[in-house]
Amino acid sequence: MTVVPPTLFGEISTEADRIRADGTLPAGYEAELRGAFEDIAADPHALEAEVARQASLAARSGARSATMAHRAAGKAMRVTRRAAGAARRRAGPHLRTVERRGVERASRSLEVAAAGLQVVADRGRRLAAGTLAERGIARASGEAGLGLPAFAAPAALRVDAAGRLGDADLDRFVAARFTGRRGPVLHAECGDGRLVARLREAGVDIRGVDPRLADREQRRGALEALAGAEKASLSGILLSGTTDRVTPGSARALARLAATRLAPGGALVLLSAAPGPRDESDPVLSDLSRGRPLHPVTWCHLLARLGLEEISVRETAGGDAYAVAAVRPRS
Amino acid sequence: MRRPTARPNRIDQVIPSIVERDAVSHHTLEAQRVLRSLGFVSEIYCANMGPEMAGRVHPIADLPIEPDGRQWVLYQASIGSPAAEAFAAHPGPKLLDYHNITPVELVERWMPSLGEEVRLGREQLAALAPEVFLGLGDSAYNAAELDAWGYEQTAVSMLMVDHTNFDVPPDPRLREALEAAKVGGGADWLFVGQMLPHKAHHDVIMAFAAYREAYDQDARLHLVGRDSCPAYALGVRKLVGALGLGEAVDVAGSVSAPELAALYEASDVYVCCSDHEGFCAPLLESMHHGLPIVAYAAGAVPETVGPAGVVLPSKEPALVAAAARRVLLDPDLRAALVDAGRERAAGFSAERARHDFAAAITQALHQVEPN
Repeated sequence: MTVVPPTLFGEISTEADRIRADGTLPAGYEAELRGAFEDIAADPHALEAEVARQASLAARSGARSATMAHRAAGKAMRVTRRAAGAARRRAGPHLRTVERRGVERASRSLEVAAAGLQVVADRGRRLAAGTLAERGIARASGEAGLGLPAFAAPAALRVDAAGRLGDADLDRFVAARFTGRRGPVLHAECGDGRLVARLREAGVDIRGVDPRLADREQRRGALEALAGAEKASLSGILLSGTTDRVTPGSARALARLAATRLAPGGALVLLSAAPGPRDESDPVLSDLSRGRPLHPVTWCHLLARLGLEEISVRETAGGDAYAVAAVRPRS
Repeated sequence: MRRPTARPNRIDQVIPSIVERDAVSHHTLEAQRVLRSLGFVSEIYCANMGPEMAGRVHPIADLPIEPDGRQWVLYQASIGSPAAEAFAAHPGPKLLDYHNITPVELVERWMPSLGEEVRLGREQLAALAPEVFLGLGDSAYNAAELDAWGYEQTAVSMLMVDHTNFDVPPDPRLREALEAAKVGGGADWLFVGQMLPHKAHHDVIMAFAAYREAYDQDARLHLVGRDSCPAYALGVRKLVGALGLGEAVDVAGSVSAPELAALYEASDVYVCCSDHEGFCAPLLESMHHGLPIVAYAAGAVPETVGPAGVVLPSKEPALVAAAARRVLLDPDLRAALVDAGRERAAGFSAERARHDFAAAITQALHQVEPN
């Protein structure tokens, strides 16, 4: 079926030439259009930074709104209480009861409204912090995509005050991979460093990094820390946190970087939540559909493709988390 | 390559990620229905699943291996994924259904992490070529890419599109607002696509600017699609501001199905300047709604549009503007495009697509070579 006449493109082309030639479009107009976008698109990183700044400003604005709402709520409650007092003085017991209920109800409504605004502001702050951290890590390492806000870790991956993982079997599995090793070990996304401290007490030469730490030397994302390490310099690498929210492409980049930083005979351990249906109640997190835990088998495939050996998996009794361990061959 | 030596009992599918409201996910679920209707056991195994899919699909680690060659596996390829490694490692005869992966160079500069994923996807597809005995593409363009990677046998099997939202009633409030805006005159342009650099919203905006400058100062442009690349989306908004089009360009973001229906209804021309499309479902939706198309001939766009649109070899602003003007002013051409579009959209019906896929599986069954 032919709908478009064969001469149509020629006619359209002639019309385009006409509007260029007769001044319908000002001379150089199309070049100006292209130039305008080329100027804007010259530095995508600058645009990314601006997106992060805008998110941060939105969060601050949300926080200010929450503060103002709190103040307004307080003022309204004071006014209401004064009015109620005056009414009580002038009215009988029945009116006082009605008034008290009214005050209570108004007070509850105001508190709920203020709390709601506070939640929005907090979420904005978290999102902005996550976005800023992600951009910082991405810039520093030349990679991107690992700095998403954390999903709630399963209990098995929480570390107690003594530096032990929530699942005893998993804890033994992880500790055994590093205890007795000579040479430096890196724990990426170590949180407040309890597990690092415990392994250090056990004689492991280990240091921890985490993008949330205050210490500038330790404030590093996993990719950044690995990219900054010498090739074949680490006798062990422990990756946690970031492994819960990688994209497939980032997982490959992360695994490849880790494999190259391991010294021959060095051990790599990945700690991750198990993949599964996520809580969709938080629309911000649910929209970030790419970053999520991978299945241990996919990590095994990745690590095997990178030439690592002695690959083993240990899952928790509840099946909500796992560790994958592998060793770089000595030759 | 493991050639099929026996008719399969089961044909299982492997997919990187499966969620609701996603074209490839919908296609995979439809494929499962077709495979089951043909008498095969068929389950879906994925690396990642949306929560709504729990119980309907399985994690990739549970992919069974039946050693007698009576199990085939079909990979739904649309992005780089470790799922491809699991598929490659499976010993059963392999089929692959390719939905296209955007070339690295079109996304890497803006989104390094997505660049890594698409690079991985393309590497995996090249590596899988010797393993797969039949590769399917949901357009001839996609099948040709498989040919270029060295797939021994390929066929075209159209995308099983989700038509659920095609006929929802338009949102009455938005419809009213769009009608009110029309009272003052001016044409409405529409483009639907995620805010990603290779969708080239900036080229649509430039063409629109030229159209306003040359023909119609009251024209409006509606851009629909979520901000999948925030930096690019910001760049697009800045371009709108820099060209002084803030009042004329509506960067609507993600909209509901009724709102989208209202926009299709109110618009006068659909303009697509994408640098790459493996199929382009919004073109189909546009044809279904009787909205004539002006599009740049990239990727599978000419194949999807067919005779139902004006397909241009270049997207210079003046050329796109002149084409849109012609479609808007030439009533005979417009009517012919609308009729052809409706007819073409009907050709992509769910029934036809299911039949197409069943025919492709039948073709695969003919490959069985008993020992």
